Amino acid sequence: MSSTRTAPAPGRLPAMTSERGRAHRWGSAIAFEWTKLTGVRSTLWLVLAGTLLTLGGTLLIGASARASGENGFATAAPAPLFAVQTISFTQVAVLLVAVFAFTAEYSNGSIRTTLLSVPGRGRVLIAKSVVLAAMSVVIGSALVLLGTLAASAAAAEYGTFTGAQLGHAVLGTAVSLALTSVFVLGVAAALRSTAGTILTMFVVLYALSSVLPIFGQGWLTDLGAYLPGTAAGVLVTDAADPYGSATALAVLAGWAGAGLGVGYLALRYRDV
Amino acid sequence: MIELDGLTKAYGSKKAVDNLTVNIRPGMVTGFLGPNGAGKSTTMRMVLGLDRPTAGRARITGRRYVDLVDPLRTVGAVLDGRAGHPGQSARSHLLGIARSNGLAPGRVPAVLETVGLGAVANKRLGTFSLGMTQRLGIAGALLGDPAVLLLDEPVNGLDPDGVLWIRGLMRSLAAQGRTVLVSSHLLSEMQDTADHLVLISRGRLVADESMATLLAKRSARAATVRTPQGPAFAAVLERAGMSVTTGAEPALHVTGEGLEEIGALAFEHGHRLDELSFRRPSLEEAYLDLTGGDLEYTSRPVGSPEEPT
Repeated sequence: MSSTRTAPAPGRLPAMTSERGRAHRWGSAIAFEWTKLTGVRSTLWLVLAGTLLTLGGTLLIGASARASGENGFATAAPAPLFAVQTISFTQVAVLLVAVFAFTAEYSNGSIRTTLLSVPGRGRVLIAKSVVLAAMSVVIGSALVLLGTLAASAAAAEYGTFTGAQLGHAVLGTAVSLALTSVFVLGVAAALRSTAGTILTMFVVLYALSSVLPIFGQGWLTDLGAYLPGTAAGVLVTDAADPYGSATALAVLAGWAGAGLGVGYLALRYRDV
Repeated sequence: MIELDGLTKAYGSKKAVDNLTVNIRPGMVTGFLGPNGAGKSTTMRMVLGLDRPTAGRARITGRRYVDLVDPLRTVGAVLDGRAGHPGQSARSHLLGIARSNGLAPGRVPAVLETVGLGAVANKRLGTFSLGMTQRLGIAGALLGDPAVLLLDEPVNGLDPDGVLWIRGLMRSLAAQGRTVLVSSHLLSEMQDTADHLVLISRGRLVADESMATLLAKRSARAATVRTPQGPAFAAVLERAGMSVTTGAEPALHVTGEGLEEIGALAFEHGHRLDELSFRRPSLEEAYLDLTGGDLEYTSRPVGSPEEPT
């Protein structure tokens, strides 16, 4: 490393404020988050891991459906269904990107650089949400297409499907993964710790739906229907139980909004 | 211009920063001094909107930090520790910051060259040494060509070459008319760099004056006089109210009031002076004088363990 003894060339003092408009500032904040997200290798590794897991999972489920079908069991299902079933678990790889978007910044100190560059807490949160939601839409859609291709290849005639079924799976996954990412992002902003955020994510997305019925209380079991996992399940399969797509969308959007709200309060009122 | 107005930060009943009111002016390097734990970093974080003040406010060019539009065009800050993701390259790290404030991407290679990191622009931050991390932080602070700079212990981790470099950098930034606030617990470092000093201890303001005034006002001064007629001149000085001791070599060590009269007295009484030197008080002495040794964490000499019970 060479050292330089010269200071920057003296020039006229810069203007005290910027004349750039509001829209520009939002665009800048989003470009900042995009640069950070794509500038680190862990993002690529997580997306790659999610893709490989999805590919492996759908091949296995498809092959299993075909083997069972050939032995006389009624296991045939549309290949997109095999894909979304697999992705309901392999999406964790994508959700981890949302976790690290905040927890990594807190653990390595770069959150201070972020807030010095973009002091508006709400702006930081929304910019991260936009970037992660966009990434989730693209990755989620790609995973469904890839998974459907793999499942249908493995299941052969036991995985036949219609274009409408595929279209619904793609759209449902894109939307639900985007909203779930935003929810997780908000939790990460509030909790700051990687371990705590991942634990919370698993409990809310996966564990609670099995735990709630254990208490035998009717209302607790009913509450399980409004967990994000249940709503996402409705969205990706076009099921009518326990409610329709519109309600499912509202439920999932509610979780995303609540996550963002908690995250905003933590960013706004806690010292860095 | 940085204005602190009754700035206070309390953690429970303990006040880390206590009713701090001071203005940091442009065109000079202002040293922000105090022992470890005095509240320097907390003050800087409040100025930068990272910590919320319990009371009072901090303004930069008349605005709170969070109200600045594209703040990096007004303020550049170097805080201790890492500023970026260890997996990100130096260039990508700075490019993201530049984009966040709509700065020209061409500023990135420019500031990397300024701080001497041009050759390692594509290296990941996790591989950087402490000194390189410090230089990268300075690069980030200079990106927006800001009128106000805040540096928290910037010489930490720098080699002697780097310390010399950053001293020159701070002086030239101030000479361009910028406001430069630099914190340090190293008093000798400030003596060579700062024009003005703000001293705090236990979160409270102890002194806010120019380096020259601070050094002149505090601590008893002393003079050394070498003359062929030692005892005779010593008598002259003593008559003028000074106290004189004669050292092993034929030199007079003079203390007391009116030391600046020594030259005139020698001239009036016809004494030849071979040497007349004034011992400047060190910043350390002035500082201990002001704080009364009021350090947050006082040490005990090694070798006096507590008795086992």
